[in-house]
Amino acid sequence: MNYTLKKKGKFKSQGDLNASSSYSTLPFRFERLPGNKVLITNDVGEYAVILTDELTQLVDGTALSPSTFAALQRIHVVSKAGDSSAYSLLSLKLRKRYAHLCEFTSLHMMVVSLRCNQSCPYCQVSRQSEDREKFDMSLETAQASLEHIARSPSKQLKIEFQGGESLLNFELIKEIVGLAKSTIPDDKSLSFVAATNLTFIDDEIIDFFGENSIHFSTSIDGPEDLHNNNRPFYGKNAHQLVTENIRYIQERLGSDKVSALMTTTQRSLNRGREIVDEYVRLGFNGIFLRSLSPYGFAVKTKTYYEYSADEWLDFYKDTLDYILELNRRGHRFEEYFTQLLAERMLNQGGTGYVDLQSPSGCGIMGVVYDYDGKVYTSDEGRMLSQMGDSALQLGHVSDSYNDLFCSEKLYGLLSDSLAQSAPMCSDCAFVPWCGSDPSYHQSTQNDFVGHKAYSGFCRKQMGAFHHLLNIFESRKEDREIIESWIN
Amino acid sequence: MEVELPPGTTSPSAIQKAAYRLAPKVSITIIGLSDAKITVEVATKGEFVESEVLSEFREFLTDYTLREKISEKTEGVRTLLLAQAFSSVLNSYKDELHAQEEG
Repeated sequence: MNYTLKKKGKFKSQGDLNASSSYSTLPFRFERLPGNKVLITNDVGEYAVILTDELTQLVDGTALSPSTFAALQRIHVVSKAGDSSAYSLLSLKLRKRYAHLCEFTSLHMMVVSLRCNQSCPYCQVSRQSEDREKFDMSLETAQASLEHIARSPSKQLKIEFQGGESLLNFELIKEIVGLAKSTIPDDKSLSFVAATNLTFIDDEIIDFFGENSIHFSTSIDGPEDLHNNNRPFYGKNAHQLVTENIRYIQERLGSDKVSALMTTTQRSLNRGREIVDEYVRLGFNGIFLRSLSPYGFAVKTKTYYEYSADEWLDFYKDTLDYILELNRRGHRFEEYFTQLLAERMLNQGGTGYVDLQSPSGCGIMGVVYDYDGKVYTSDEGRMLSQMGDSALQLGHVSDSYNDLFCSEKLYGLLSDSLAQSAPMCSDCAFVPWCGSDPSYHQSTQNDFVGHKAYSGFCRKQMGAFHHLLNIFESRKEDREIIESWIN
Repeated sequence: MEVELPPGTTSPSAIQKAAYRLAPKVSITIIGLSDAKITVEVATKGEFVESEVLSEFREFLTDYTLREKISEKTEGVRTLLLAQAFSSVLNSYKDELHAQEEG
């Protein structure tokens, strides 16, 4: 649609020269910001910030100031009358934005054992005690899983060994690595990672991991007292064991061969800075500020309910500020949740983070092969099943690839998970940066889509987006630091 | 409490969206719909203050009404953009399949 002001006389008025008055409007969403400002986003996540009055002008199609017009033109929300290039560019960007869907499943998680030697109250998995070997994956199940993995169209495959404690079935890990190299076609890249609590390690494990480029992924919740409170280990000092083993791996294989995650508990909320200091002390280059998930023992022990989304947001903002302060002082240290969001907001880039995709990454970015052969759309789906809800189970490894990945169940889930169609999300300016988390909503509201006004996931995401927008728009140095994490 | 909304300033769907967004704080029901006015019944929940919630409701109502105007202007363009973006993906896939069959 074109809107043209009537001109009087031969010459343009000063107002005509100062305003852009003839333009077409392309689709956009908006969200009000503090300070009389409005966020405008397009369908691929490019954004501009304009004034409240200018929103009214934009909606009515009346004249915009040149600077506002330029900002909106850059993100293809307006285009000059007769100029169709914006349409081509935007459709190209849309295609690129969703190109990853053609890659299909790249992350394959194999639960080699449900046994665990720790008893973390917030454990998302309903772990089993160490001596029950019937909770180990069999070789036959592993082989069947690998056949499905080999069928994935993705050119870059990652196999993640999960648990329980994955190293309790190290023998099977060795078998799987060997089999994978002969089963997976040569034209695909293959990488491995093992999620482990690192309470035990030996040279055989380290040598094998080094020879096969297997990455260690462990958990460190913070300083010793915090970690040991969160992750008790039957009278032993879990923190001491883990940190010693981290150091050993770093010395033997290199710092880049081991990474750590933290989980925020109620005890963590006012200790973000100490947690970061611990990560720095251990030689890590970054941290993922992760909130509790509503599954498994975290729900049974009510650990999940110990804090609200708003309390976690306060923790996140304060800890991120501290991390930015470290960077300003010359110590490069990244926050990975911020990095994910910034990649979306500033580069409109896709990320491999399964929990923040629309459509959901369940099944199509990641899939789980459980110890007993059941196949789930995600690790959260596995956890829900252990809580008695099999809504996110796709089938069994004995099923055909088509039955697992081309099922009406998966199509229905993916269809429901499209945030652009969901109530409240469809109008939200943050939707190009956000995603759906059907597992979270199934667990908390017994519904894949969920009522977002009641959703802790939504509250957390919106809070984080608002905070980062404020940084990008008003804190130049901090914006540059975060940009350095993604470029 | 009943609130009357002037005709032409909003729509039932905008009211429903505003009500959805405020659901934890307030229950909003359309009880009257005519050319003269739209009447809604507003019942605040829990400890939330009625005047604050009403203010928030009016703000959301304004925004969702604006969003409907935007959608009316641009939804057709969005459909075309999506069709243009993804029809070429489908065509590329068909070309690839065809090449594989011939090869």
